[in-house]
Amino acid sequence: MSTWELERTMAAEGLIPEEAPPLPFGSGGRPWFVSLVMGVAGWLASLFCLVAVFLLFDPNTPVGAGILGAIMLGLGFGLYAADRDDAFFGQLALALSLAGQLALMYAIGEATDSAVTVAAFAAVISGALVLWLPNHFAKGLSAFFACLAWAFVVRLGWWGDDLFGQRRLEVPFLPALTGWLIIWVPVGGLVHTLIRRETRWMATSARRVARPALTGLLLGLSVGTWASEPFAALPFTTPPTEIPENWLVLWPLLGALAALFAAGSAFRLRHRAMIGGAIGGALLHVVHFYYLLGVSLVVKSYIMLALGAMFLVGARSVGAGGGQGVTPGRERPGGAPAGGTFGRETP
Amino acid sequence: MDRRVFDALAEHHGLASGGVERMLELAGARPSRAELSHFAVRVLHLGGVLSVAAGVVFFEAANWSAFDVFGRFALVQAVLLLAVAVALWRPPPAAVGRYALLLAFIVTGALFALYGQTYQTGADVYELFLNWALLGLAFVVAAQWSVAWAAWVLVLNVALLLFCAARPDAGILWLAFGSWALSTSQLLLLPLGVNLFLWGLWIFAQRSRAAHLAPRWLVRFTLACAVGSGTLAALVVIVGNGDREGAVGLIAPLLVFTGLGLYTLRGRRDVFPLALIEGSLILLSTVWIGESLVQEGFGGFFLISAWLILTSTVSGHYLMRLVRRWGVHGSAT
Repeated sequence: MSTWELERTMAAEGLIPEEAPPLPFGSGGRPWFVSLVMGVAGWLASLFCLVAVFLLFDPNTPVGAGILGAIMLGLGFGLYAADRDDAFFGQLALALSLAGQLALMYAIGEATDSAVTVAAFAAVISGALVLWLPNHFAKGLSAFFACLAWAFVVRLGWWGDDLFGQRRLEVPFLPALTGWLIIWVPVGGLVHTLIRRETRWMATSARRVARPALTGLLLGLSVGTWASEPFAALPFTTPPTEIPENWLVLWPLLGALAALFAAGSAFRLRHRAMIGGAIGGALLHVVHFYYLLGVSLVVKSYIMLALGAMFLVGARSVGAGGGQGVTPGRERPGGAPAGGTFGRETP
Repeated sequence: MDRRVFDALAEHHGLASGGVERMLELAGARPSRAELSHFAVRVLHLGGVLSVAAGVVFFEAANWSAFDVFGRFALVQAVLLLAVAVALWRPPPAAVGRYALLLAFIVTGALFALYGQTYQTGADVYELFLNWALLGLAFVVAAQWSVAWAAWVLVLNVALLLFCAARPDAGILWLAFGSWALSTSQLLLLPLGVNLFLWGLWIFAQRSRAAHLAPRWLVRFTLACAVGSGTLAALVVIVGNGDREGAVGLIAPLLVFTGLGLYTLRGRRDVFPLALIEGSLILLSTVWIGESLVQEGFGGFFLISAWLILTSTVSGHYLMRLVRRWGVHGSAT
C-alpha cells in the first residue's frame, strides 16, 4: 500500500478530511544504507576535525580541551537548530557535535584519570543529547552511545577499570549475572514500553525523541554487550598463573539473548534491517562467548546444549499454543516469506 | 512503509492516539499474534539448532586431545551424515531440510579443516576454503535457500581474498595465474569479476522461476562483495607502490563502477548499488588526499574532514533525490 492509498483509505474512514492535502513526497526517513554512508563519513570527519582542532590550538590542560569540546558541541547544536533540513549543515553539525563530545570526554579523563567518570559523563551527555539535538540520526546515535556508556559505568564501576587484563578477575556467577541484568534489563524494559505505547507517543511531539531513541536502544541491545565485554578475560600478556573462574564470560551469551529480544522487538515494528542486524549481533556474540576465558570449554558446551534444548522445547510450546496460524513456506520473489515471518516487503 | 513515514503522517494530519492506532491497522504495520508466534517459533528453532551445533563444536574442541585421529573424523563425519539423513527425510523446501543442509555445508568446512590439520598436506588456507566452496556447492543447491547461498558466497569470497592477499606460489589457482606475473591489485580483480558474475546470475534468477532463491538482500550482499573487492584493489594501488602495482588495479574497478552506475540509473529499481559506489569513491578519494597531504599537519586533517563532509553531503542529497524520484523504499533508521 502506498502512502497516497493509505491516505485515501483513512479519508474514507473519516480519520482525516477528504480534502486534506497529501503528505509531501519524500517525507519520512532515509534508507538505512544512505544513513550508513553519511553516518560513517560523519564519524570519520569528526575524528579528523578533532585532530585538526587539537593540532591548531594545542590545549595543554583539561580545561582547555573542555572549552574546545564545548564550543564544537555548541556549534554543532547551533547548526542543527539553524537549518534542520539542509544535508550539508547536518553533516557538518554531526562532525562537530561528535568531535565536541570526544573532546569533552578527553578533558574529563585528563582531569579525573578515572574511566568510570568518563563513562558516566558520556552516559549523561548522550542521554541529554537524545532529548536536545534536533536531528533524528544524531538522536539515534546518542541513544546508542548512551547504552554503551551506561554499560561501561556498571562494568568499570563494579569490577575496576583495568581494561587490558593485566589483573585477572575472579567474578562469581551471581554478581556477573546481576551486573549484566542491571545494565540491560532497563534498556529492554524501555524498548518494550516504547513499543507498547507507540500509538500514544506517535500522536504527540514526543515521536521526535522516541522514534530515534528506540532505534538507538535496539542497536544497543543487538551489539552493546560487546562494548561491555569482560576485558580482563582477554589479556594482552600471558597470565603468570592459572586463569581463575570468571563468570563475566557469560555476558556475551546473555548479549546474544538480548539481541534475539531486539530481533523480536524489531519484528513488532516490521523493521527488516534491524531484524537482520540483531540476528547478526546474536551470532557474533556466540563467537565471542567461545573465545573468552574464565570458564572451561566443556562447561560452555553444556550451557550451549542446555540453551539449545530450551529453545527447541520453547519453539514446540509456542507452536502448540498458536504459532501455526500463519503457514510457513518458501520465500516469495523479493525475499518475503509467504507467512510474513521476518517482516513484509513494501507492497 | 517504514515507521518514520507513519510518524510523518501522524504529524501532517494531526492524528490523535486512536487515529494512529487505526492508521497502523489499515497499513498492516503491526504483526498479528499469529505472525508474532510464528516468528518466535522460527527464531527459537534457528536459535535451538545453532545453539546445539555450537554446543557440539565446543564439546569437540574441549575434548579434542582425548580423541584419536579416527575418532575425530568419525565425530565430524557422523554429524555430516546425520544432517544429510535429516535432509533426505524432510527434503527442502521444508525448513528442517534446509537447516540440515546448511549444517551439512558448515560441517563440510570443518571436515576440510580437520583433514588439513591432521595430514599436513602443505595445502594453503585458501585451498581449504576453495575446496569447501566447490564441494559444498551440492548441499547449497539442494537446500534451495538463499541463506545457504549467502553462506556459500561468503566462503568463496574468503577463499578468493586469501588467495589474492597471501599470494601463495602454490595450489590450483596459482597454476592458472602463476605465469601471468600479476600484482596484488590486479589479482584482486578476480574476486571482483567472480562476484559480478554471481550478481548477474542473481539478477537473471530474479526474473525467472527461481526468483525465490535470489531475494534482494542476497543480491545486495553479493554486489557489496564485488564493490568491496574493487575498492580494495584500488586502495592497494593508491597506498602501495604505483610502479609495482600498475594502473590497471585502479582503472578497472572505476570502469566497473561506472558500468554498474549506468545500469542502475537505467533500471531505476534500487538505489543501493549507487550507495555502494559512492561510499567506495568517498573512501578512495579520502585515502588519496590523505596520502598526498600526510605531511601538512592540521591543514591536512582539516581538509580531509571538510572533504568527507562535502562528499557525504553531496552523495546523500543525490541518493535521496533518486529515492524520491524512483519511489523505492528501504528500511529507514
